[in-house]
Amino acid sequence: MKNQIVSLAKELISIPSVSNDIPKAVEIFEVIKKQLPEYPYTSFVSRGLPSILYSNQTKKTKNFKIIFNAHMDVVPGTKEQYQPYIKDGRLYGRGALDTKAAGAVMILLFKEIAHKLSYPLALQLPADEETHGTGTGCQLEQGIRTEFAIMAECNSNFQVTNQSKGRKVVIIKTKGNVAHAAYPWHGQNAIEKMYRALQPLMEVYPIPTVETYETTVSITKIETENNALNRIPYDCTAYLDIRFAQKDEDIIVEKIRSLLPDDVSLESEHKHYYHHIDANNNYISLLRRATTSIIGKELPVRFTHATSDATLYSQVGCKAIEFGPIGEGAHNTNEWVDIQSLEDYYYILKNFLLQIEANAVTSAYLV
Amino acid sequence: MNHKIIELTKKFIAIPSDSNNRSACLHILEEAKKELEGFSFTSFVKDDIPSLLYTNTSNPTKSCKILFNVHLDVVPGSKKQFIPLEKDGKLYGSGAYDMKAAGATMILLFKEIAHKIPYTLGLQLVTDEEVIGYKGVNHQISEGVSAEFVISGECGSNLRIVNQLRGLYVVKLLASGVAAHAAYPWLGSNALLKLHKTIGEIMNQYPVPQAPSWQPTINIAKIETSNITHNKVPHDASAYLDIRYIQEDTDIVLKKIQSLLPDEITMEIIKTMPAHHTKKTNPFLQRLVHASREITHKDPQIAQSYAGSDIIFFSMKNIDSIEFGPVGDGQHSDEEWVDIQSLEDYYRILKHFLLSIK
Repeated sequence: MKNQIVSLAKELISIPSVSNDIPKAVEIFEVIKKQLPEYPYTSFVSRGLPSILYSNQTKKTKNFKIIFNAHMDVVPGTKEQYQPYIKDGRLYGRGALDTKAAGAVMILLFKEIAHKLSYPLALQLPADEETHGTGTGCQLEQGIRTEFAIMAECNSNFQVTNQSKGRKVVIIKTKGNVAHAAYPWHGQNAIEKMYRALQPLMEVYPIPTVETYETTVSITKIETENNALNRIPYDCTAYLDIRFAQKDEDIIVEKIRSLLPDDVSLESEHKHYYHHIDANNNYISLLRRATTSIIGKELPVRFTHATSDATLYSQVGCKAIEFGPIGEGAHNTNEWVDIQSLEDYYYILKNFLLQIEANAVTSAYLV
Repeated sequence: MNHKIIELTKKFIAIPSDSNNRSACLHILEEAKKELEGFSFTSFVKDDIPSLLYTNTSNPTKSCKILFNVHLDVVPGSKKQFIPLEKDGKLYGSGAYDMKAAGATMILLFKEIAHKIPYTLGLQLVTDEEVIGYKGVNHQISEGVSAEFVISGECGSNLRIVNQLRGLYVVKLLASGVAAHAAYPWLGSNALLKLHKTIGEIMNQYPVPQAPSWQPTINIAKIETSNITHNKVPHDASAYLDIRYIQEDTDIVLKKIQSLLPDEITMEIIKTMPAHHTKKTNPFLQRLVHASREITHKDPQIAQSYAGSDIIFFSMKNIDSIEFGPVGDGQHSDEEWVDIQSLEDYYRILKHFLLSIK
């Protein structure tokens, strides 16, 4: 099995399918389609970019018991990174960890076992997780639902990521009065006004010096339309990236509003809900049992500060977790995945799927 | 005389000679040439920007005793502003105050009496003051134009004699930090936040005065970062400051700002213009005081200007110069006007001044 996994992973890595590269996305999906000729699939298109969903059901359905999700796009890498190689039990290359090798495992496992399962199982393969998430997003928008999704995300190293912070972008605008810079008493500087407006906010949300599970606020951009340096700027816009803790979900925007003066305008863009799945969720329990039986280890749950496509499932009321093999160097020049862990990953997921099959007759247990 | 000045001013206002409208700028210089037919002049061109120097000598010369400085360009305005309008003793229109009426006065006065004057009188006509006259006044000076004393008809003086102007520094502050994913702000160092703090300190050191005040002022004109993604802690940020300083602070203001900068913020000087100061005791300035007293029966004020103008270029060559123009208001606004009675006074004071010099 190991050889098949590594061989497919290498083939996927050698295609430089950087997010939003449509021809490369098409190319990588052609490779996958050759692997899964006997299964029906649905193609989706979002922003011109394809994503696909394989199903083990002959009749078309949107509701699945389990969905496996592995994104086939990567962040840009060096030329050498698209030439995968093996060294000391590790497979190196762009996307080895994030998430092509795990994707190869899911594809091969789906190929082997999906037709033997009585319940609906899907394999979801988007190509823009690194940038927009509209691949997974548009499938969910079109009604794809599941009881439980496993995202082959990196960084989880045989842990289950069941919680991640939510995210909002807040846009703050100040208005001043234009005047010639030599006569500042005739005008009002919108950048100065922004400084005073943000001051109390920065005191309440200082930049943490160590990791925190509390809400963080980062100023990511400040700009003005003013281009004449001898003019008092009449406008200023600041963008804040807010990562919020669960308790702040409903109040964070109001709280920020309350820290700002009245003559400052605020808009907020919702990006991601806080994502949280009970660590005792039945499917997590099954995955825990599968992990223990295959590698003889406990399966810890963990929290992540960043968001991923898993949070998109939260937004439509579905449960999703991140669970992937062992490796390091995602988004880095030295990205690798541990080959033994890929085989373990394969057998854990297989065990997980088969347990569900065994329990299918007593499905009440799962609900 | 007043009638002629107003007619020529109206003609000038109707030409939309904003500094970037080169054909209109050429057009207005042609109109001035028509008025001054018969006088010798030198044409200058720098990067396609023309300017003229008229003298009362039979052959063109670049060395003048007294030089009148006139800019005939304006800042961009609405169509309506290029239709001159007389109302309640005021003449409205783009450039009425800044400084086409003063220009028309100087041109007509030159035309009337230049031939009677025993010394070299120059009349300098440029069309790039509003975008800082590197290609007009500065170019002429670099080509050898000089004078013992320069009077610019700049607005803002209101029949006062402006002998001091603030200088200008434009500086860029560049803050560097460490980029990080915005979900992990503790892994980065936010350059924008650092800059934000420093700007706060600069603002506290140089608060904006509530009323006109002869002191340095700082405008934070722009702030930006090269970061374009909202989920990233920015690794750089820059701010542009427009600093207006008085001559006494020439060496102090930048040192003070430098002392407020942490290690991760550097300062780059982008533009510098000197502060200007022609002494009150300058004999030509005293002549102008005297002429003004003769005509208005009052002592004129000696005043300061908060902004710079083309006379800064004379300063850089140690040529004494002042700003002296008629009464008005609203330069660079939709409601620009010049007081018509003050134009008559202006004309008579300048005439008296020129004739009083031997």
